Amino acid sequence: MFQFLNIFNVITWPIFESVVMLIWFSTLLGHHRFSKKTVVITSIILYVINMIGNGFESPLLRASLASTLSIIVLFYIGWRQNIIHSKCVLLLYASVSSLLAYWVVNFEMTMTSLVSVPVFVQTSLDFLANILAVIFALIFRQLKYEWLTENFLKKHVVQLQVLLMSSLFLRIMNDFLAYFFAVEQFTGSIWWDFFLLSIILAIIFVPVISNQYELLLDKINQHDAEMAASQSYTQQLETKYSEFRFFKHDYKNILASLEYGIQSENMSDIRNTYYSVIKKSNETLPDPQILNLKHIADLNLKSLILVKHQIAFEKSVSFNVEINEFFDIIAIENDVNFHRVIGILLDNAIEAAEKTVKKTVTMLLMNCKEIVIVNSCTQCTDLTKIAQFGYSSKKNHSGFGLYFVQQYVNQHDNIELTTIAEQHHFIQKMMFTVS
Amino acid sequence: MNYYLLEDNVVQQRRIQQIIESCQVFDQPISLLEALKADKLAKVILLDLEIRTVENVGLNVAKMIRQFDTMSQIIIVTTHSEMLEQGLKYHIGMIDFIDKAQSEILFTKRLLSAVTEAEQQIRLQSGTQSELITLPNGKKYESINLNDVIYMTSSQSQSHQLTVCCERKNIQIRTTVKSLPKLHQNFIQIHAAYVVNKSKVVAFNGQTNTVQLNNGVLLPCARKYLKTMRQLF
Repeated sequence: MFQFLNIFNVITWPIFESVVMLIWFSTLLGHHRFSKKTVVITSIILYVINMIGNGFESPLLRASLASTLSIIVLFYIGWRQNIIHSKCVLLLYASVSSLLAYWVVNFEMTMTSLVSVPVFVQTSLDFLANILAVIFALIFRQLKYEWLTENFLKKHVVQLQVLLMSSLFLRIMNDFLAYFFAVEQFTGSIWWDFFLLSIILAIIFVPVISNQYELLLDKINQHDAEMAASQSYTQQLETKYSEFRFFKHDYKNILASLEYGIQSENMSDIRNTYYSVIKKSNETLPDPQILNLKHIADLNLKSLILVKHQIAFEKSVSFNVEINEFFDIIAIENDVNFHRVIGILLDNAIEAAEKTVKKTVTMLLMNCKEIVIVNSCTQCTDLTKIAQFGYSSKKNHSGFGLYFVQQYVNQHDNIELTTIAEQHHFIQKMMFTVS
Repeated sequence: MNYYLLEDNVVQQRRIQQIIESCQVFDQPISLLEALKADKLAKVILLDLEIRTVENVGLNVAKMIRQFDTMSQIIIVTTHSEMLEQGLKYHIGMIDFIDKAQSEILFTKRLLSAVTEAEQQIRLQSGTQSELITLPNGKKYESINLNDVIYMTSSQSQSHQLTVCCERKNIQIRTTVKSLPKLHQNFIQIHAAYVVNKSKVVAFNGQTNTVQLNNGVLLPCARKYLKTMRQLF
């Protein structure tokens, strides 16, 4: 019976280790679903690696080979599947998932080595620990927490490097301890295990927390920008209004002198006055610069347009919003990513228009079905490249914007995007299916 | 060429008639629409946006015209110059937007140039048979003139992004290369990533296996499609 359990344990141990490692890895990658084929192949490779690693006579090889190789395998899969573009982040996740996969079993072994138990009990405890490791990994997966730390880590290279270094250091430390454990110079310490766990959790949660913190700061800044934009817009409206009042005053005067001219039947006087009215009214009255935002239901969209209008105003780009019906799409209300998409498109339009002679950006919102952004441009853009990751026509830009837009559109069935590049106009047309 | 005008102000009617003499004037949208339906030829239509102080009547009339007539050219003559210029261009394919409140000389000049451009457009269209083709764009559709299309290609990185290269513009939509040849007999696939419009192919080089198009672009022809290309050229 004991013999059987022992053999069973030896065979299943690597299976558990590889499965747990994969589960952690996919959780860390933001619940990425690997295809069945990948899962099977990876598990087999990890299984073989762990089997071989445990089979070595030399304690040093036994301690370090399997863990190192499994990190490399995870890294390779993540890299081939193109889930995350940054290699450092991948390596971090691979090493953290390897650390997490071994932790439960290590802890159990420490405990059993401290309290001497019969061999039979220890073997069954080993098996139990493996099952527990799987359960822990699955429970964590069930939490469905949005990680979203990749972009954050990419932006904070120093933090990423520190985290990566510490995770690799822990890995190496662990291998050393495993070596000493194997040559029986080290019997395990609960303190070390807890220290390890807290460091691993710190590696996972520090970026998550600081990411949330930054998002919060962003929100506050965004609010400030909105306030500033709406204030300056109010100021513009006030100036326009006072101009209008001046005109109204002048207009009454002109009418009075017209009446005088008519009464005295002096044709040349009438003519002079009339043409001065025409001239004045052409100067003052038609003013396309006033935004027509009262038709937009979504407050966030409204303030976004205001902010962009302000940016365009500072760059002396004429920014028009044409809207003639009430615009309200429920599907996109409060969707931060949608506002980001519109923001990216408007930013691009303003930046492109700035380089042209006409400097116009027009945004059309039509019948709750379509948002069209038209800007003047200098040449017909090559559309085959624009949505690629890392392509940008602008200097010092990462080329992330349109890639993000494309990803967003691909994820949403009810939104379609058409891009039209003409000689003098660049048009982004976004269509919504209203359910 | 026939000219139609929708305008309810008698002074403005006379003003425009002085510039374009053969213009038929209407002050009711319904009678205008009936007259337009009776006239099958391509025509130049001048619209005022505001009829009897009801805003945007002209816009709705233009939309209704476009439902049965895509050939005619629409020119908007209005005092509402402050908005919707781009929207109208885009929506009803209007050719120009003329502000009534400008001086007589400028107004005449603008109106005449707009009419000339409209006539030119109509002449251009009548030379070629225009056939509209509907390209799928995700769950929506994008209509485009068959004669404009030169070739279509999918960007290498994402197979569902398709770029349609036209005579004067490029359009990007979301569809697959495979679905294109079924849309029209003129669309021929020559490569996993390229579909060309048959009428735009200038030459086919059998040695280098390249297809030359009328805008000078050279496209590779894959071995799989060589047979059909040899039969055609």
